[in-house]
Amino acid sequence: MSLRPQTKKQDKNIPTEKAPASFLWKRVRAFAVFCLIFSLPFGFLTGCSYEKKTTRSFFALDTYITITLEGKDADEAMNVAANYIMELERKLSRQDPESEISSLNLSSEGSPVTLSKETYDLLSLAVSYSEKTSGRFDLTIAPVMDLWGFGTEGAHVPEKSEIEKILPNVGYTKVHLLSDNKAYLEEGAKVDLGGAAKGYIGDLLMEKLSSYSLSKVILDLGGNVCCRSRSSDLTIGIVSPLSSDALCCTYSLSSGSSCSVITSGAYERYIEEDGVRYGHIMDTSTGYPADTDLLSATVIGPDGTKGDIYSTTLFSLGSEKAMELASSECLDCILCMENGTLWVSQTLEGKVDAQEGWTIQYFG
Amino acid sequence: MSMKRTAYDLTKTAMMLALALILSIVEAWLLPRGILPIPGFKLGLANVAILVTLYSVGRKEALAVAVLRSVVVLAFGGNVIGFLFSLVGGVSAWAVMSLLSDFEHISVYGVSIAGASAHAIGQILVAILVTKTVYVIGYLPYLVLTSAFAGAVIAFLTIPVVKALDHIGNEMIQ
Amino acid sequence: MHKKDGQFNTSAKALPKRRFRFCSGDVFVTLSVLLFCAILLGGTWIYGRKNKNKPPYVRITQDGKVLLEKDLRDFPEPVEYQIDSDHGHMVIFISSEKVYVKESDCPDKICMHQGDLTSPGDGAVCLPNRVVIEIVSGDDDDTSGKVDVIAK
Repeated sequence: MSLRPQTKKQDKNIPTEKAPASFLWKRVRAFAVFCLIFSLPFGFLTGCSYEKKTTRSFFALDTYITITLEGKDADEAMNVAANYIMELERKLSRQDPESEISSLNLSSEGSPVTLSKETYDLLSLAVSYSEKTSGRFDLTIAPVMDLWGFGTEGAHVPEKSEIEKILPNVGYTKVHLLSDNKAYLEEGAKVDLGGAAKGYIGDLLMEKLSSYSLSKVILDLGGNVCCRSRSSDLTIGIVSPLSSDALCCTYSLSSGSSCSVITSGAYERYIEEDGVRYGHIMDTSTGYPADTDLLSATVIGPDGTKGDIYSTTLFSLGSEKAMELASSECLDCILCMENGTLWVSQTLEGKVDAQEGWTIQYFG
Repeated sequence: MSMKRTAYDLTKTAMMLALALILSIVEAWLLPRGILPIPGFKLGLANVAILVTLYSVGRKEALAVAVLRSVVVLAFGGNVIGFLFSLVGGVSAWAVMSLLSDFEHISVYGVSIAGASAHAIGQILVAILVTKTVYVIGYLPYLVLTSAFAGAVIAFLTIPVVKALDHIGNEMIQ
Repeated sequence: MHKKDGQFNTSAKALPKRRFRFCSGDVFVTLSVLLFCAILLGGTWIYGRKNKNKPPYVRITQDGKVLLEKDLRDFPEPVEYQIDSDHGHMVIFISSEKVYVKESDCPDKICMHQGDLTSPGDGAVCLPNRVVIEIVSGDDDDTSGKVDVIAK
């Protein structure tokens, strides 16, 4: 009995409440606001951690391509990447008679061809690297390659006279770069950018994809790997030249950085005749497969074009000269020897793990 | 009178800041180390001070208490992570409390419980950001429940303080 | 001029209305908090149950980077895992039975007070060292020993 009046008295001190008509509505509103407040941080969290992952594989650039993307823009970026590869293939393929490279191979001093910016840039890069390696890498090796026919049905060991006849046509000085993206080749010369194109395309793709919100990008252009990861470390296996289903070592890429890993070796494309193996990497001065004690050479670095070109060059040089060149050019590389030794650049110490049967030795 | 009132508001805010500091220390002292799974996590006893300031001085002053408390604790030899915990926790508690205190039919109890929960969530967010691991979210339900219970106790403590401050104010002015 | 027990502040400044007794809205607030916790608990429970039969593994992360991720059965012999970083030095004891922080140079030593971590869901956090140690119920995404991509 005494409680009631007291509570009434207290109620007076509370500012008058509104009519009970809006009672239910107010409750609902309060509840809604409450749920909103509570769900906000979690919406934010899931928004951050929500990672789409897509993988697409297809045949292009004469090889099998696998792209793996992870992140918010994965789907959109995947379409862009696939279309870009197709576009670049149309420009750079030597097999496609419509491509810019094919028209360049038909050009002459009198009739230079105008190239797209991408093709021209790659061409000038290839020429400057040919110069730098003093012709060890040569983009005009195409006529000799045609003679051997690696990877085609007519693959055979050519006659020595055939090679000698065609060798004068090889030489990067026969490529002439003019201004305004124009270029022409001297009579008889032909270019094949196969030794640099995949690395270059990888570089272009990585650049193109950098504007998308992606936490992980792995491009596998037929074994030429370009990758970057923001979320976790990546482990890149480097295939053993002795057996295609084993690895010789792994390279771990710490999160936040990007790199391209490119291997050259003669263990995939070769001709076997009379018990002799002829690998597909040529010594540009003789027109015969490079005489090397290496099984494969892998270059790891930020620049895919450089990596692609130098892995070929290092392989063809053989272990001793390769180590010299790698040291002077500051290349991070892994050289695979027949006796199971992996010569690894000192700068890669701690990042490379040998698989069973392989031992690591550092140089440089 | 107006000047008196301003001075009194300032005094109250300062008192509450002092109270918040004491409670920050008392809480660290009351809860033995390791009893809560995340180091540096606080149940938010200092929310009493924020709540009292909110109800008897005003919103801005309450925010000032929430922020200054963290800054002063940092200045008195706290670590940066503890500072982030109390800052983010305190500010999220303040935001939720000052918003909910406007609603009809939500009393000090509801405001305090919601504030304490927001305090816990804010701290977990910091823990996730600091460790860069989402996994600490597993602790969240337990911590929110404990904090919410603490919130109810805090509301109970707040009421007499607010009333007493009003009483002093009235006597001072008359 | 003033009501005796009334609100002191009579100026134009808008203060929250004083409701000091448990109101209807409080029930909603409390229920929302409980519901929120229930959903989270349910989520973790379902997640834990899904992976119940798989072997647990220990995962140690620092700054969000995974330092170690290994099946507990791979430790028939106990090992002491050392972490040395810019943040500090830690020694973590790992055996097939339990995992615990043996040493840490962090000032609060709370990670050491966490004691033994034995079953999935257990964890210890060391904020000064930015290290999270957790026992995770194993599932298929155990990527240890696998590579992300192969270069050839």
